[in-house]
Amino acid sequence: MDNTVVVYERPHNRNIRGVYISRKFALSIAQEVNTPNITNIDTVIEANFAPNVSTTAREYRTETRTVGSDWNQVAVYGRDSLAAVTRTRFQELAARWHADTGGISAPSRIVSHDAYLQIISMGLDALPLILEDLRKNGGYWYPALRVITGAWPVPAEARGKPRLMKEAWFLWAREERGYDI
Amino acid sequence: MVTLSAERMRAHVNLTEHNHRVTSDECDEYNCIAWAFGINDAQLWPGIIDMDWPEGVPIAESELESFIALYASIGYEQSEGSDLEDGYEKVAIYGDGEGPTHAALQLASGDWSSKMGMEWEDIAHDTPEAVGGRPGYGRVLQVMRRPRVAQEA
Repeated sequence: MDNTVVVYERPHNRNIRGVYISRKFALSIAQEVNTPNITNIDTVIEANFAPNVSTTAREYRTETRTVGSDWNQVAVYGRDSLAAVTRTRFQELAARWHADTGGISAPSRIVSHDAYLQIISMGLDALPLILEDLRKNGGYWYPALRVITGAWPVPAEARGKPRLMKEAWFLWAREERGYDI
Repeated sequence: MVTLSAERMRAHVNLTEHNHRVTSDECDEYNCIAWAFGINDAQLWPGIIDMDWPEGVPIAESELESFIALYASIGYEQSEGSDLEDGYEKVAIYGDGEGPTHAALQLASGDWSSKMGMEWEDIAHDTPEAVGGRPGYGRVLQVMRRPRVAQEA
C-alpha cells in the first residue's frame, strides 16, 4: 500500500501528544502489530487523547481494532488525507485562537495563546494555512510567519499596517514559495 | 441596536445588551490604541517589530508611560476623572497586573468609543467601566484630556 498513513493511538499512554515518527519506527510498529498487508508505510502518527490530535484522529477514524497489546489502529488513509488532517487540526486551533484573542490588543498576550504556539509548532506545514487564514479572517499572524519562515518581507513603511503587511507576505509567498495566493 | 455577539460579550464581564452598541464592522486594520489616537489604518504598540509607532514618540521603560507619551504627542495631558467636561475630549488607558490592555476615546456625547482588540468591531459604551473588569480590559489606569478641536457627529 503505497502512500499510506497509519494512525495509531496508544490507549495505555495517553499523556503523550501526537507526533510524527520516523519511517523506521513506523515499520517497527507495523511489524509489532502484525499488519503484513501494510508494506510501505510513509508515516505513522502516534495519536492519543491529547485534545487536538485525538479529535482529528477520531474524525478521520475508519475503524478501530486492537492490533497489539499497546496499540490500537485507528485509521488508514492516503497521503492526501494527511494534508486534510493537518488542515482540520489547524482550523480547530485557529478558530480557538481567533475566538479567544480577537478582542485583545496586547501583542504578547495574543501570541502566547496555547493554540497559537501549537500552530507555530506545526512548522512549514502550517504556512499555507496561515496565509489562507490571514487572507480570509485577518489577525495577528505576522509573528508566526516570521518564526516559521525566518523571513521578514515587510518594508519599513508597511510596519504595523495590516493591509500592507498582508500584501508583502502574499507577494513573498508567491515569489519564494510558489503559492497561489 | 446591534450589540456584540453573546460569545464576545462573555469576554467582558461588565458589558450588557443595554450599555453598548456596535458602531462598525469587525476588521483588523487598526487596534484600540490607534483608534483612540485618531487613525484607522495601523496597529500601534511600542517596541514591536510588526506594530507601528509614531516617529518621535519616545518608547518608555513601561508600556503605560509609552502610551501616555503617545497621547501627549497630540496634545493630551494627564487628568483626573472620566466625567464629560465641556470643551475637552478624553482618552482612558486601561490595564491590569500584566500591563496596559486597551484605550478608549470619549465622544462629545459623553459616551466612549472602543475598537475591540485587533479583530473585533468598534463599539460605543456608556461608561469607561463597561469594558473594564475581569474578564475584560481591567481598570482605567490613566485618563488624559485635551481641548476638543475636532468636529464630531
